[in-house]
Amino acid sequence: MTCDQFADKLPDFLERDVDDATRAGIEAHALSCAECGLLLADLRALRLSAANLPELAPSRDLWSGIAARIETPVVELKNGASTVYQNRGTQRRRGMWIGLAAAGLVAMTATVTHELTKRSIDARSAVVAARTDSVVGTRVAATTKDTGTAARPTVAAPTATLVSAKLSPEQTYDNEIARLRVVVNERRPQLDSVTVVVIEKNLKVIDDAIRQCRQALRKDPNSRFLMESLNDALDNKVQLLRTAATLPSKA
Amino acid sequence: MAAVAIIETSSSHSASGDSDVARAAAGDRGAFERLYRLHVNRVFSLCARMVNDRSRAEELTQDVFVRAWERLTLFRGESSFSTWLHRLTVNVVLNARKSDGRQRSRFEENDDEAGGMDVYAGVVGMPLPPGDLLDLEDAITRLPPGARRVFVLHDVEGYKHEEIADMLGVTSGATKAQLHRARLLLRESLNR
Repeated sequence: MTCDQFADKLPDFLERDVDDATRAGIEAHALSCAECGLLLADLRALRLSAANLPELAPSRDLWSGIAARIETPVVELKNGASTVYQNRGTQRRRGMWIGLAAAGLVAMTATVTHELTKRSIDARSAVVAARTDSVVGTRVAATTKDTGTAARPTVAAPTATLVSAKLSPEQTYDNEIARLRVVVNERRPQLDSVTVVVIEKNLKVIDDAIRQCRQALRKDPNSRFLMESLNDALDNKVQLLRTAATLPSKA
Repeated sequence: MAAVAIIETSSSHSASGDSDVARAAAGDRGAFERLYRLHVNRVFSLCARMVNDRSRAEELTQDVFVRAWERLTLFRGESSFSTWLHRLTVNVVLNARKSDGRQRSRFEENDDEAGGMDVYAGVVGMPLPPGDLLDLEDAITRLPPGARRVFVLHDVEGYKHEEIADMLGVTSGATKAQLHRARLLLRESLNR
């Protein structure tokens, strides 16, 4: 065997991927050729050293960063923490994922929704306010017949109320959407009819996406992709409703 | 006697780890932290050697454990937790590489895949400063990325060519070629 043949066969030899005759030829050449013999010895030693490299350690404790990322979200799930942890495979993860997004949503939009809702309700009658209550579950103060004062819902509660421990993350989204939906419905007569059609068409598309995500999540509850898609769809719906609620009235 | 002691220690260590896996899968963060403490260095070692950047490796290590927490209920116990976590680490690193790769320039991508020693002549081929002794760890960091990944996965971590080829989306012939190239480059570095 020549040195070139040796070099050519060496990778397979080191992988024990040669027949007996080739193996014998390589070993014989390594014994007879100092340079090739040294190469083989070096590569064998290298392999051994690599397999025994010591473990490396990070320069800092990484746990705090990990713990922060896996921390259970502020938004508690409807059935309480114990149930959540028992059903970790599905509800917990989904709750955690959506919970974080819902908490973010509330933090970002609650004030806006509050103002929009308040503005809308200020302009409405007590009857409308009562209907609002039935739709979104806001607590409406009793109408004072004696004074004739219209009922004013204690609406749009501060963020703390929206992130109530009694609400599941998806309920938080749903409530936020319901509040905005009421505002948009109230504003519908003030908007251009074509604009309303466009809004409704887009809402239908988003609703279809939400429904599909929820259906798919029932089959594959741990899918991060589906959770993200559901979050995106819910966020999109909130954003669209917020935009619609703040559109200028038609001329 | 010493051997028995080692086996007993190892066995109890493993049993403890197993029960922590079950607890962590049920949502016990304390148990998961113990698993983290047990495995962090191994995970970090793989990340650091694969990406050749300790800061990035620390980020990836955190990603690995967050992903492990998210996916722990999918762990069926068909392999050891360590093996499962290790494979997860490889996946996280390789996925990060794809995503990082999209942000790199075309020139850098070509460097990665070109594979010729001359591409890295500025690193490997240059005479080293006097007294600069390269150990194997250092030498690995100087390998071209493609060769380094295959070398780390095969010679350091013990994966088979078929597994590496599957992870990297290349043929096992390509990984064998990269491995041999890596070994020759390392030998050259270490013998200087």
